[in-house]
Parts: sequence; C-alpha cells; structure tokens
Amino acid sequence: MPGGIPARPAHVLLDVAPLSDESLLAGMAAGDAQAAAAFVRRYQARVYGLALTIVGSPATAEDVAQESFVKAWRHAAAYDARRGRVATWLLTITRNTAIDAVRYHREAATDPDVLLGVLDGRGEAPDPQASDVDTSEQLRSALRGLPREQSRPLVLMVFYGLTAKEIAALDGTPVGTVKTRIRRSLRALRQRLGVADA
Amino acid sequence: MPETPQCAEVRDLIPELAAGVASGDERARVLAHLAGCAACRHVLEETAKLVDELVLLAPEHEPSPGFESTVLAALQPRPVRPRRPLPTLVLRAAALLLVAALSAGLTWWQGRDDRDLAARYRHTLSVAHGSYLTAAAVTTAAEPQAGHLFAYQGSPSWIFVTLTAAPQSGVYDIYLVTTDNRTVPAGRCTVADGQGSYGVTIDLPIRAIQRVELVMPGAPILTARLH
Repeated sequence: MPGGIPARPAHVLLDVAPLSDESLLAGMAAGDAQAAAAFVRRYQARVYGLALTIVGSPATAEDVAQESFVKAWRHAAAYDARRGRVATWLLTITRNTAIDAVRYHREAATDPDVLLGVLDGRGEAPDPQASDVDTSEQLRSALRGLPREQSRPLVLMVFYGLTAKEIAALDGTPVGTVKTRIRRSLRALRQRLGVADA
Repeated sequence: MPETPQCAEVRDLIPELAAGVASGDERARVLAHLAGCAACRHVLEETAKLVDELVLLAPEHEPSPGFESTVLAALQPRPVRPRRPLPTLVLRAAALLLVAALSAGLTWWQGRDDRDLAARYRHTLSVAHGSYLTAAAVTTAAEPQAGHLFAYQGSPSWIFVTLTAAPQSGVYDIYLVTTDNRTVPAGRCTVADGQGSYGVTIDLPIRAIQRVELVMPGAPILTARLH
C-alpha cells in the first residue's frame, strides 16, 4: 500500500528470548503466538522432565506435558506473581496433571525408589543449568542423607499425591508412623537448608 | 505464642496440606486454626516452599523433536485470546438457561412419556455438545437445604453454586474433593445475608468430583455431594 506502514515480513521475529517468565506469560495471556512459543521452548525440558520423572513412559509424559502447557495457557491470565514463581506455578500444574494421568487413566507410574534415586542425584549427575543451583544441590544432598524410610513416604506424597493413609496401606506401615516419618524428613530438610522451625 | 494441643494436631496435617493431598475436612480444620495462629502459618509457608523446591529437583529431559510444534498447534484452534474462567454472570445466565430449559421441558412434557423428556434433555445438552448436567443440594450439618450446586460436563465443564440460606456471611473458599480424596481449589464465593452465587469452568471431569465444599474459618462447612 503506497505511503502505508510496511508490514513486518513474516520471517522477522521479535527477540523474545530475554523477556522474563512473567512477561512471556502475560504475552501468552494476550494471545501473542511468539510469546507462547518462547515460553514453551524455555520450559519444555523441565515440564517434560517432571512428567517423565513421575509417569515413566515417554509417550504419556509428552501427553502430560502438552496438557500442562494448555492448562497454563488457559489460566495464564489468572497467574498471580505474589503467590510464587512462574516455574513453581507451571511445575505444580505439571505435577498435578501427571498425578491425574497416573490415577484416572491407570497409567503405571515410575517406581518410587527409582524416582527417589533420580531426585537425590544417585541416578545421574546434577543439572548445572537448573536455577537456584545452590538450593537444589543442598536439597538433593539433604534428601540423599535421609534414611530411605523417611524419604520414600515424602516422595510418595509430593510426587504421587498419596495421602499418609494411602502410603500406610501401600507400605504396610501404621498411619501414625508414616506421618511421623514425613514430618521428620521435612524437618531435616528444612534444617539442612537453614530454615528454622517456628 | 506457645504451642497448643490444636497446634500439634494442625502440624500433623500440614505436610498433606502443603502437598495438596489433604481432604476437605482436614483442610477446613487447618485453615480455621491458621486464621489465628501465626506460628502454624509460618510452618505451612515453609513446608509449602520446601514442597515446591522438591518438585523443582526433577531433572530436565528434552521431549521428542516435534513436541514444540504439537503443543503450539494445540493452542492454535482456540481464539486468539486464551480461554479464561467464564465470568460469573455469563455462567449464571448459562446455568439458569439450562436449568430453565430443563424445567420448561419438565413442565411442558408433564404427562407425556419419559422418553420425550429424555429427548428434550438430550437436545438441551446437544446445544453446546455437553454430556450431562447434574445437581445436588448444598447442606450443612444443621441446614438440609442451604442452596444448590449444578455441575455440567462439557467443553468446558463448569460448576455453578447458588446459596439461599448459608449460615454465615463472608467469603467462602470453594474446594473440589475428588473421588480419590484430593482437594482442588476452585475459587471463592462471597455470601451476604445467606445468599451468594459463583460459577467457574473446571478442568476435572465431573465424574471425578465426589463433593464440593465451601469453607470459611469459623463457619460450618457447606457441602454438595455429587457421588
């Protein structure tokens, strides 16, 4: 159109890589396709990694990861930065979606002891790219230092969404014992991270 | 503030609350206590942070090469703006229309064969490609009919709660309690003079919801049982 503002060629993309998580999420909420693509690219390894850690099957993990991004996209406008980081928010969505996949679709989950080995670093080397490396490595080390009888029920609750009662039934342990072990494990982890109890 | 017997009971439940697996009853008990206990609130906050950090320990893995385009394609068919929870007024109108249509069908076809009513119901649901609509009374231990809950299975699925005789005014937290006893927050409903209404789209299938609870510290729990 003579005299008009030339349209940006389709191949010229805005550089969205440096944008914060919050900005990308806001872009997604506003329907910005580039922001959505950058957001997916930034988080796909973490989202898929968590899904795979819980469900064990690559095909199911991809379904879970895809559903998690769709949920995040749907609810992006409702994200409240005061209630936590984007990574935490997105991975909580992923965790819940993976738990739903295991429960409602009767998918076989990763063996809890294998999962524990992956989390505490016995399974593979620590990830140098993870954010808050110090905290994560301290926590990984602290988890490794816990007796298996304490770390296992904690992992069953946090990653498989099991209640103390369900863990008790699964492991043939009294409910009170399960609760005590979980409380002790949490206390030990908090102390290791330097957080004092009230 | 010294630790009380209630503190000890609540701290027993805090791990499950922080991990999002506490039952509705337990959650209500903890929330009621937390309203007046800063020390237990601190423990819950720290425990919730720790749970978040544990989730972050999961290692990264790259998905298959086509994953990104598959995800972006899943975001494409919808409108440019992402779907948000429908405004209460829109849901209210939708719920009332659906209920009115069903009621009208009930009246109009009264005396006719049940199959006509069933056909009318199916036609009503087919308008938005829904699977079913169900309803339940909202009750407390002392009040058998504090209001109603409607739950619609469709795309999207939604719940709509309307209260006519709630025992106390204030802001109630709404929780979906699943058939496997997980508790999922679903928003807040403001009640004045015993009356209030709230609607929200939900991701869970309706069949996975055992009951819906409206919880406010110091007030009786309002419950609608779907199963």
